[in-house]
Amino acid sequence: MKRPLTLIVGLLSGLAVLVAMFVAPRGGSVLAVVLNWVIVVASVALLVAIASLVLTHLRFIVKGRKGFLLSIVLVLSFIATLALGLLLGVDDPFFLGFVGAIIRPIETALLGLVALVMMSAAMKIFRERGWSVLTVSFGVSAIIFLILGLGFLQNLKIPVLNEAIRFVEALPMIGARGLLIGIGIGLLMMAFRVLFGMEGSGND
Amino acid sequence: MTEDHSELNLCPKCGMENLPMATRCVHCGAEMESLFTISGQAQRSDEESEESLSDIIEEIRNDPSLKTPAEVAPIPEIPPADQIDESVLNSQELPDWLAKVRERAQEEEDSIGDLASGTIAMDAARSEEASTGVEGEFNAWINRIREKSQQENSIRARQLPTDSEDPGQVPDWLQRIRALRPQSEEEITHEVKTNPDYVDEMPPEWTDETLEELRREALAEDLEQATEPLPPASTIDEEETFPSEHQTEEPGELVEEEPELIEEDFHNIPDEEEEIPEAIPEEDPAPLSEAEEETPADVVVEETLETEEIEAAEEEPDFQAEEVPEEAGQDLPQQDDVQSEEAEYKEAPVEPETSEMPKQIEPVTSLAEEESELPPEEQDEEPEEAEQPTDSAAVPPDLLLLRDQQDRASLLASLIEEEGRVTAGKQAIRKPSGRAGRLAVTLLLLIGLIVSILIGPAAMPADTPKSMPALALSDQIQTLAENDQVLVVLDYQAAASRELEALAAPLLAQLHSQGTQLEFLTTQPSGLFLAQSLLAQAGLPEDTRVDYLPGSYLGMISSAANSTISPVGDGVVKNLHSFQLVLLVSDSSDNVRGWLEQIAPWIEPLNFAAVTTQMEAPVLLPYFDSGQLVGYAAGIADGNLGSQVAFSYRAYRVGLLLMLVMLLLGMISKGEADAIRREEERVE
Repeated sequence: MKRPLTLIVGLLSGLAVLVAMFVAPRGGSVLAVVLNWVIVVASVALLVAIASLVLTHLRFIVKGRKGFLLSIVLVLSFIATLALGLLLGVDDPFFLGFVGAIIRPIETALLGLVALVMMSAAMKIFRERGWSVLTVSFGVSAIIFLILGLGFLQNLKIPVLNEAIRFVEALPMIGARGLLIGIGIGLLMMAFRVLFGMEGSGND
Repeated sequence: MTEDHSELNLCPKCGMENLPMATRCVHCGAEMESLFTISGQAQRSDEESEESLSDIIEEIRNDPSLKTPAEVAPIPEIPPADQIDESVLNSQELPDWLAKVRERAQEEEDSIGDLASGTIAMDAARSEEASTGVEGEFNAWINRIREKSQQENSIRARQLPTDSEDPGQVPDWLQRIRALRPQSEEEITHEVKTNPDYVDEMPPEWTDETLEELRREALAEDLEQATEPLPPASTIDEEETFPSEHQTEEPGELVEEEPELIEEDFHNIPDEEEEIPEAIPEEDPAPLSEAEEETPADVVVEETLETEEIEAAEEEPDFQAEEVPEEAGQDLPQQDDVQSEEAEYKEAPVEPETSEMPKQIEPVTSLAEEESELPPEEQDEEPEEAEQPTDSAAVPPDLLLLRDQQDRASLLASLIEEEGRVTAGKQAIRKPSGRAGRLAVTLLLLIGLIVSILIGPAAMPADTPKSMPALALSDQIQTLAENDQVLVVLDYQAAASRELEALAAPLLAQLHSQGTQLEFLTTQPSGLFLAQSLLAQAGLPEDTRVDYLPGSYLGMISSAANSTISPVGDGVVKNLHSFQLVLLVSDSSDNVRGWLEQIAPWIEPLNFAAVTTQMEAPVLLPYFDSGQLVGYAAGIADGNLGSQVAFSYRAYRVGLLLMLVMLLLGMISKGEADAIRREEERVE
């Protein structure tokens, strides 16, 4: 059973944005208003999420739940960042340097671990999946592009080889187009489902 | 012993023959008084028999031959039969009819009738029983006989028809066993001897000697029962089969600890060594002593016992004399009072397994017969060999067992062998975990990267060719004139900052050197502090303004759609139409797509270029191919990063080489595993 009011509001909002896109630039004002509403609501939701996060970890600390030390670190970091931001301002170079000095190495290290995991997965895929079209094509393409990434072949400066390398490097565009077309069709279907109440919060 | 069945009485309950003087049926224990009926008269119930007395008297009274002419008219009143004697005794004068009866009774030999004679015989028998006190013991003995009979009937029903075989001849199945397992006959060294005393068939009649013998036997059993309670029926069966167990229980009390054997547990597998002493019973002196005395029990034995067993017992006196004292005597060295009686019947072979295997009595007995044929040396060695642990898991395949029974026996034997042992759980075959290989590869990777980094940055060749989008982007930048406005959108996270900043910084420096007006906008909160590093690497002034646009590119769409209500407000990025180029520095192809698909239509003919990671570059290639992107830079070669100090081109190449090696190792290891598997399959 679907809520009629929610369904009607969702349907009308979607149709309004769609019409505004088609009648641009006249419909730009309507679109801007709707998008601003979305941004405000999203910002409020972000604040609520931050408050919920902090309260949850405060509850963990009070109850002494396992791993509450990490909760203490989170709460202290949040309080320190909030206090420095309020006191110094978000444009202060010290504040920006302080935050950047923490976040940058952490995220970089995580990305390096992702690279190692990907490499391990590439090694295991043949043992786990065996020999198949997918694994063989993956292995061959990975080897080719790794060799091209080394730059040895490019440094040979052989015209024919360079043409071949350019052709090979253009091959991913085929897959990317198919990927983008699939994404576009999926989004279109999802939009219709939301408009007609078959998807989203209209369901009970 | 005579077998005159004409003198026997039939039991009214079971129909079996009994002695004339028996008050109870020896087969079923039913009362035999009803048998003493008047000859020539049909058997009736008790009430009818009481009535028959008055009828008889009435007939006598009405018999014209007994009447005198004077008594014909006046017929005196006749009291009931039970009152006759009293009236006669009380009165001094006898009536005429009674006098005639007495007179006739004196004249005729059988005038007292069968009724009186039967009653007299019954009274005599009762008085005899009462005087001897045998009745109680006799009843108990009868009960045991009955149960024994039932058990042996059931055993016979399960036995294969090998009874008719010649006991002195080696059976076929035993020959096959010997052919298959020569040592198996050594393992089964004990003989089986069943008790020949109590069998189904009873002597045709009981004489005084027989009863006296039974009495003595019962008295002996009473002595045993006085020390322990009467065992249940199943135990009685075993005791009857092996009477010697009574006497082994009393001194040693070994049988009490022996678990009660269930018929399903019986098997023909030699048991563990520790079970042998408990299962060895001693011989009961009564049966064989009676057998030698040629008592009526001996007759019963000769008629009912399997001929093979008796002959085996008689043929192996020496063996039994050696075996029984040696084994049983270890646990039961005393019993001086009993040994005097045992001296005669120790010859009877008793096999411990027999108590556990009533089904296999005959085959094992046959084994005993075969063992009796062995030379004396082997017989002397048999007890020692029997005490050695045998291979219970090996079940002779030719024994007379069903397949299911044989399987169960094998399972039970294996369980018995493993009993008490410390057994570890079934360990699965450990497959190589590959931890060593993984560790080696990881170490190789780390060592390669560390060494390449420590050696120092290696400059990337300056003439490294760039990609087509990078060349297009370079051409687009070169077309910009002084004071042209360029919007630089910083939309990336800290993780990709190293790669993107290395690509974007040379471009920004080039733009700055051309005199263009750079405006910086970020849609990520992290873009504020990330811009500092980028500006520093590009050599831009530190006071360069970076605007933050909330709501990501949604806010930019709103601003592009209607700049008057744009959330950007008083920022420098108030009108997108004034920019000549929008340079998107993003680590997400989705954000670039959002700019190209959602914002670009509102601010045509604005040019868009991108700086992204090499991972996201293929997705942007179609937009470059369609002209929505004038160019983009992705990867190390596009940014010509070799000129930067912080970039180690050698480490980059080492990392790529290691990835290539690991990928090849994965393929090779898979191929090797497949080859090994195929080889194993071929071998199998």
